[in-house]
Amino acid sequence: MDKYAPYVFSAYGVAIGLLAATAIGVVVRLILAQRLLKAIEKDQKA
Amino acid sequence: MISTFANPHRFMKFTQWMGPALLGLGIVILVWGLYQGLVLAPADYRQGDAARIMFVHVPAAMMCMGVYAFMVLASLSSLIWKHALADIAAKSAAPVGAVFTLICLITGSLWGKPIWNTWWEWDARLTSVLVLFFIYLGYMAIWSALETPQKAGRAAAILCLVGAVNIPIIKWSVDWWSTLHQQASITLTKISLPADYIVPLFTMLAAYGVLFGALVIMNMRAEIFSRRAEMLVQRQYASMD
Repeated sequence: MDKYAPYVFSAYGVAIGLLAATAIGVVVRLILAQRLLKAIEKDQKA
Repeated sequence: MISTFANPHRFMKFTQWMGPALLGLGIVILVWGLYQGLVLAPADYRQGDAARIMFVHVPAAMMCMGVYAFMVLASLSSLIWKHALADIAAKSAAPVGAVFTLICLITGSLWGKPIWNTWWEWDARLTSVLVLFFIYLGYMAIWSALETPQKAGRAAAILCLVGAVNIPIIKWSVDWWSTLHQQASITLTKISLPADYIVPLFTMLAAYGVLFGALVIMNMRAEIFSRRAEMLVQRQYASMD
């Protein structure tokens, strides 16, 4: 890597970081929504 | 095929494992693409290693416009044919599109500093992509601001269609105006890039595309679960009255 390495690694870090944060956010949202629905269904059956 | 999966029940059954499977596949392709971009591709004879930023920047630029085109089609389906899943698809794609736009803007800035000696320039390409980012934010804000999904979906779909005028402006801004940003290296008829750069570029585009599919499917499932939960709660309140 030449003198531009900090820019290159920053760009790759930003891309990976933002994609990872989005993926984690979506997975957490999905799990929470699924759990909430199950809890409501269970509550209404009881 | 589209009308088959427009039924939420069939969609939920079909996509149960599809989201995580696509997410896993997307991560594998992404790791391979990053390795190609950082290690296998040679440094450019003029830009040196700074040219490697291309492999995260250009596919993100393609995706931010592609995702918006997807949202326009979904919004049209929602407004014209009232497809059950169309507005959910558009709503679910918006945050992912906004993230690709942000990646495009930040990595472009990090590429611009060493090559153009500036982080930002108010030229037509950069400004129109920034406008696209604000359109994504506005679209998401409408969904959050309006009370019912029907009202929000309709208003957001109209904003999405109006905002579509920005897509050809982004695409042809470098041809219509004199800009600091270079003209397109990849068009439908020619690719003016060395062969060593084409494979990592399209590998990263494939990774972004598969990840987009995974995230939209999982976001759609989350939205459907949330709407079902809300419907059940409303029914319970209605039966209590």
